[in-house]
Amino acid sequence: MTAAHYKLANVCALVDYNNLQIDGKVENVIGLHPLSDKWAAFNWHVINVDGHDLEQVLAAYDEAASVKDKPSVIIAKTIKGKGVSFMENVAGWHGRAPKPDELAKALAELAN
Amino acid sequence: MIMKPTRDGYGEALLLLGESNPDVVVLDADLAMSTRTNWFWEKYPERFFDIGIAEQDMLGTAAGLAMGGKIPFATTYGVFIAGRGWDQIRTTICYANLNVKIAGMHGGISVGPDGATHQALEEIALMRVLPNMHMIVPCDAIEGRKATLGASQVSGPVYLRFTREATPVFTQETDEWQLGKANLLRAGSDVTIIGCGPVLYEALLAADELAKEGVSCRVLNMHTIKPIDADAILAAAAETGAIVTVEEHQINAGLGSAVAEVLVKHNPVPVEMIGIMDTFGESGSPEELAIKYGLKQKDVKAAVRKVLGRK
Repeated sequence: MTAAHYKLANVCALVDYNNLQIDGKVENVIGLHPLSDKWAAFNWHVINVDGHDLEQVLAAYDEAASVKDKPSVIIAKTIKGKGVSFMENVAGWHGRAPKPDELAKALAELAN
Repeated sequence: MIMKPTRDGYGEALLLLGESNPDVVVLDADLAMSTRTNWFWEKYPERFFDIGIAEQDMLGTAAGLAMGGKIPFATTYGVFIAGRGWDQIRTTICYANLNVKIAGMHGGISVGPDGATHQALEEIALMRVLPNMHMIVPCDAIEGRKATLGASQVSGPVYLRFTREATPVFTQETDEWQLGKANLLRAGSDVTIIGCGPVLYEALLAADELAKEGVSCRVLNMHTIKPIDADAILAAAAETGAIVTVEEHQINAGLGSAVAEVLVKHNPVPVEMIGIMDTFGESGSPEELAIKYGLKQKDVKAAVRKVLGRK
């Protein structure tokens, strides 16, 4: 509310929207849908992107910089743990670090 | 006796700082008329930010302003800023040791008719537990002004506790004021009364009456709760052998506890504590409440008599 009221156009927020929280899927814990409408209702300029598509993300930053009368938010849809088969979309990985053997396996998968 | 609320000293100091330091900015949370930040607002509108009823947002915004090199004074009622904003004060401001000044108005039960929800009785406890924080409780409007100016000279977070009611102005313009250094209000040898805030005036009245009854009371104004003046406390313990603490705050974890923490490690003389006895307040006139909750001269006298009996 403050950023919009004071027209802080040089503020840009980024939501890593992976739909997981510690207790499970966000929509099953306390749903955020429709997240874009919520930000828009607070008078922010909203940009939706695929968070794994860096060209889309960079274009979104350019768009945010071009908006001069309100703050911007980039809602980047992502998959948590993407690229590591045993981590993808598993809420349990929110708050724990991989053990050495898990780390080796994850790094090997990411290198491929 | 001139009567004036300590918050007026805050408003006056902000005007002085507005003129002397262009980096000083002031934030409020929809209470500018009550907190006296409206005086600064009228004179320096480009350096005043009303954040609305959003204390946590105000503290985060103040943190950002401090990171940008400003000296922000974030201001609203103590019950809102110290309680609701504690997480932002702890993790955003104190952890990063940011140069944010926080002013909590309307501390204590003397807020009166607004009742328990608005009577901040916990700020000393909440603030003095935080690393990097400084905690100050001015006793009158003159000290309120000096403490605010002093806070602006400190690098790092400071919490200033102010009060609503017009109360006696009993310090002098010429009195020296230094952060972390207690001021001697009465010399004495039988017992020491250590207090903070406007309730100290009741301690002075008690000391003057006790003097007539042959009891010599030292009275210390412990305006800075953190860092506490351990030297003054230990000198009082060694030279008078008994301590009474006086505060308009919860008896647990407030000034009395801070004094006791020093004493118990070095020289555990008998202590009696005057304060709110682990209960919430209620609606009433400030005078009615001070009587009911035991914050008057007679209560201080009784505590002195009791502690003398334990020497």
